[in-house]
Amino acid sequence: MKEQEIVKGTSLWRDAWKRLLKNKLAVFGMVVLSIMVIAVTVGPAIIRWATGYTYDYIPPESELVRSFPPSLKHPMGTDDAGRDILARVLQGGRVSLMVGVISTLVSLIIGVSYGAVAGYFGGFIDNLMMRIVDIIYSIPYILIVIVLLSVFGGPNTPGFIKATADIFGGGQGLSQIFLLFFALGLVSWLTMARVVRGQILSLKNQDFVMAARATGVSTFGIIFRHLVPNALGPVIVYATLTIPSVMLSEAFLSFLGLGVQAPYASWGSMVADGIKNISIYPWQLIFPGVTMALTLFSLNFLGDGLRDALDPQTRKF
Amino acid sequence: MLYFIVRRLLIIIPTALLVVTVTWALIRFAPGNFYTGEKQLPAAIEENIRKKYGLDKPWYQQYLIMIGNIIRGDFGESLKYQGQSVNEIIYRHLPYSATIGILAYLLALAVGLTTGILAALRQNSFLDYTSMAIAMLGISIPNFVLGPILVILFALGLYVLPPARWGGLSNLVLPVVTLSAIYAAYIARLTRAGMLEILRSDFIRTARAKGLDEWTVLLRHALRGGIIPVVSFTGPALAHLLAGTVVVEKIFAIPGLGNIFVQSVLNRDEPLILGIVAFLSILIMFFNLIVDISYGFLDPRIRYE
Amino acid sequence: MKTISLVSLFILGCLSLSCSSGAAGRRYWGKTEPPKENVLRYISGSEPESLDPQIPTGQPEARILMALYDGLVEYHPKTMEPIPAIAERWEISPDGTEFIFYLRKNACFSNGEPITAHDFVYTFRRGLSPELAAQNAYLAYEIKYAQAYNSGEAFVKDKNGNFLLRRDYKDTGKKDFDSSGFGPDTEFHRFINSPARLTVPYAEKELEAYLKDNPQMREVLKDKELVPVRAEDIGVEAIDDYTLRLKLELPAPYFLDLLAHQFFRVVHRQTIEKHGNSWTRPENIVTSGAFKLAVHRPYDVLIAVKNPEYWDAENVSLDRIEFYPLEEQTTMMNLYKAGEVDALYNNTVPAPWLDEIRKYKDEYLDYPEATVQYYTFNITKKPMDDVRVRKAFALAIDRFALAKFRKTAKPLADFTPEGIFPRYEEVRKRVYKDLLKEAGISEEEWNRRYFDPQKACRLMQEAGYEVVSKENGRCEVKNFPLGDVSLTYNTSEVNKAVAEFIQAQWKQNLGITIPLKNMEWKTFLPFRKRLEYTGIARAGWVGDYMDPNTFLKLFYGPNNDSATGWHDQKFDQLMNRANSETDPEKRFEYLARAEFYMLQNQPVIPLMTSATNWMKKPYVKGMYPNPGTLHAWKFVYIERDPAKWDRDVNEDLLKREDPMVEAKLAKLMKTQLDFQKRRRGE
Repeated sequence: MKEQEIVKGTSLWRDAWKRLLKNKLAVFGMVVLSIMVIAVTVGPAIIRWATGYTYDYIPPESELVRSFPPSLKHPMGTDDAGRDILARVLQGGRVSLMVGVISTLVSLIIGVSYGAVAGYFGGFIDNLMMRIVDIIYSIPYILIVIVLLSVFGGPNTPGFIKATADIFGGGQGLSQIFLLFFALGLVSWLTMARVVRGQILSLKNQDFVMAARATGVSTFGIIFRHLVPNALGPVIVYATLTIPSVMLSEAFLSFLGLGVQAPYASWGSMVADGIKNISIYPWQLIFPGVTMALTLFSLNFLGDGLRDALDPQTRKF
Repeated sequence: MLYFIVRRLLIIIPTALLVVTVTWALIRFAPGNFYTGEKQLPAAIEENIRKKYGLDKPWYQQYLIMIGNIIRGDFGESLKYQGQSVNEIIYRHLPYSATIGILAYLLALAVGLTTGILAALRQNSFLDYTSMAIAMLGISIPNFVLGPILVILFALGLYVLPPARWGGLSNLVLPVVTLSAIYAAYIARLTRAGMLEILRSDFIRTARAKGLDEWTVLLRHALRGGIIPVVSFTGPALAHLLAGTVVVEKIFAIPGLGNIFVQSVLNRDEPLILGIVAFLSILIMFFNLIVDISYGFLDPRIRYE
Repeated sequence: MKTISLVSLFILGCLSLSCSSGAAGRRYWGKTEPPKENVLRYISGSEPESLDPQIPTGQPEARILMALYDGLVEYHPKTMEPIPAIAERWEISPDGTEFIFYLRKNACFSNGEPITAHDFVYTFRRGLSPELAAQNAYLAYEIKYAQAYNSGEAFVKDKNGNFLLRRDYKDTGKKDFDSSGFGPDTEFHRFINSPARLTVPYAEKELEAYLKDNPQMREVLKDKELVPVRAEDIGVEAIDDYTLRLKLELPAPYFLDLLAHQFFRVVHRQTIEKHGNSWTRPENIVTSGAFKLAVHRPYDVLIAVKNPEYWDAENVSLDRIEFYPLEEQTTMMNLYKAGEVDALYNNTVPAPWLDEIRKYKDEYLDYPEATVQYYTFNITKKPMDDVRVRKAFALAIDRFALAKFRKTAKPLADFTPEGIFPRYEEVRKRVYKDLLKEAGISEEEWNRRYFDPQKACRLMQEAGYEVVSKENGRCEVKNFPLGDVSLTYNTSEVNKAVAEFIQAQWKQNLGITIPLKNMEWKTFLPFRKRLEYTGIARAGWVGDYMDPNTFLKLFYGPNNDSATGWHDQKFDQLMNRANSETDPEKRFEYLARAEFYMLQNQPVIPLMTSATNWMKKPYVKGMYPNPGTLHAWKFVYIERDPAKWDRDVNEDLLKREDPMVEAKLAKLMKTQLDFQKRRRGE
């Protein structure tokens, strides 16, 4: 019986891990992502130690305050203010990766449980829950972010956000960044909920659910042990789609003045700045752009691998 | 089924009013006013303005007046663009966004479905990898990068297409392509995932075992279930596309609703925000209803009680 | 994977190559062909809020409204000085508080109806009416009783039917000016020249608030009747159909400049009364300018066509102007390069592009603008309540490096923009010399006020901070309360770049890293106005008219607009004295003293004078980089002969004489100049 295998968690996860390692692209993705995570974690410190450049270092000599092409001193060149793009890409990576991961996690947790519950119970509950989604969906998220940031920004920042920001060094700027992560998560779970609900609707009348119900598995168990794992494929794919979309939302919000505080950068905001100068200083776009694309690619390969590895039905093939 | 549709249609209006209420409250929480500007106004002038627009009344009175007008279908006049009614602004700018949005979505559907299905059928082949890699590229290149690159290539390099503004058919090409890229990529990926899921299921095996030919299996059985994720995605996506997407409208200077919507929020133009929000929420709920109905057609396992 | 990145690199390579190779050999940037028709295609900035000239406040609207409406005077295309428009000549009373305008008899609205002095009276009264609630109404507050009318105030009448006078109850520092001998004697003229009446708020709530602040008035108002100030009471009078007289509260020599502002341009009464709020729709609108509205598709295009009824139609060169409401810089640069538009509005070329764009000497316009960029201090909160700390922060910014970084701006250490008011600057130089001697500041030290890190460090030490000296005069301030200070700015790419640059300056020169905080525009404005910011905030000011007063009045009065919390009696007195002065030279002296005094208190850090920073195709002529980028459209024309196109526009375009423009100007100015000559001959 396949259902019993799923319940035995440990072997499932080990199996999945084995299958993941067999997938070359997924391994490639994992390696690149690991390198990226290590680079953005220790990179800024190394650069600072080796060259003295930081993401916000503007040279005091006014003739150096302009965009220089890549050179030995600045492997990725400098931006309009003469700042080292490599240092900024590494620092921006911290922000972007955290935006992607935290916001997607928030949206995953809320979206999956919400969608699953709505889809499973159906009827009035489904109707009510989905209308709430509709309502939130219709409210302009810029308005939500403006209000969130102005109400909870500054002195009113909730404690848990300050605490998270403190882990990463603390300060006013970081608090706002973390507030932004949560705000983005809070507005991006809606589609996830709809996708999950759609999946659950089509799964809940299948034989294995009937069987589980007949054997007396609790509702909670049916939803989270039987239905959700079976719907994981599209969920993981959608989650890997959510990461780039929140990274880009962050760039858009930065553009409106609601995003990352200067002089911090994010890949999204660096790309947004770089595209404007593409015909004059192409390196301002290429380096952050390629780094961001490479990361997203790797994330995607890893996501696909995970999907294949976790999918309980794959083994039949 | 009919009962289900009628009930959902009936609920649209109260839900929209709820959306308007929440949005109205949010606007009240947001700092700044439609008349705040770099030059500060003398107190007397500010007072004149507040009187003129009834902002000196208590908040519950203002709310009742606002909601009463909206129930009567009158969204009032824009505060920023004097002498223009909200209804008129929506009516005037919707066609621009809708044209671009619908064209972009059709293009995205055509490209996305084809690549998604092909990739699923030839899973793990070269075709699969390339098309998914291109799709991923579509997702990871933001439209504010893709747009300018297309402009530089086709409008400023080759001088074959206009760089921006509304006009003839040639003005439509670049914005539509820019807008559709990300949707095509999403659709391709969702189709592929959904198709893989279905192709492995029992009823497809049964169908194959029955000896139906591959195309029949594919189109009549697999595709119907396989595009469910695409359908869930389409509802809200289409509603948003119809209402415009800010970035593309800005890059190509298209007078669409999306840009006006964002501007209205930044301008704190309350009647205009509420009007567009109400319109948008009705649109979204309507499309979602269609999506839910189509679930029933696409997948016989889904039932509405 | 590999192939894709190779392909993308290849595309990027092509992109950068195609552009740089395009730039090398050609004289002009992109496609440069005059449009086939006699049309100007102009990017005008954001979508106009309204086509009612008295409503919108922005420059984008001003440019469009200047085409659609005509006023008593028009801006000179180069200097923005007033030149005759509907008023063919005017005279000013000896005390400077009265103006008489003689209107030309052939001026008419776009529907053919004549424009008379009564239309101007209507326009002025309408603009000031509380019901219209025009944001620009404050521009007309110099007119006698205009502020009282606009604020809903009332005169105070005693039992005998006499009105109480201002001079008996209020010490405003404002004198009464009587010019009853000026022009024909009328009943209204006698009323308006009688000593200023006392005005108090009329509405109950406001009156109560007023009495709370002025308890001594409670007694005064007892048993008195309040008579609301009416539209008919303001100092605007039609002596006959073609003669208009204005009475100001104080001699305001700049008021004539201000009359070219769209707020004072004439509107058509019957149309407004008939259609109410929708009078500006294309099917209803009646205008008075050289062009009239043909098409308005919001967010897309506004087309103004030549108005055949216009009194000076023979001198209007363009058949049509197309205004494109666009704000996206890259988009407008693309349209310009593709030859789809002929000119841009000001501040449109992105700074990083300038190295490239400056090569196109026939198109790029870099002239000083009547706009200052500065930072404000919140002086009500520690540590910025200490003038030494404020001065230290101001001196620790290298203005020259900043200007070089911004590429378009000029360094600024005074508050009035540099290169805009040459006559004022001359007087100021002289006054400063005396003041410096009085204050014991050496000229050398004074000249270092654009950047003086040593003095900044010294001031911080004097203010009680622990200062560790570093090499070349820089230092590190140890115990600065960083948590209490941030630099807040409203989001824009430019503001961000400047803030980052200045943050780095303070870090290098004082060892203080001030946290940056950006805010969405409408969140930022009330935040700054209510002094909720800590430390420092960004600000900018665009002059309303061509006089230093428009900048200095920012600091005038207890509830001034400077958003700093700074208010000073001595400054107000100097300003009062300046604005009661009829001799322009002496007036400037007082203004210069006021400016010096204010800056000694350093409630703000002046940073730079903006530059015009826009482009036009060389075939667009008669369009000049004046300090407000406000173009009198009738002078603009399209030159089809490439030999006559503009060359090296950045050198001295404002001094060059274009025979076409000069001829038109001479013809227009003649009426006023002849009149002045005749007067002098008397």
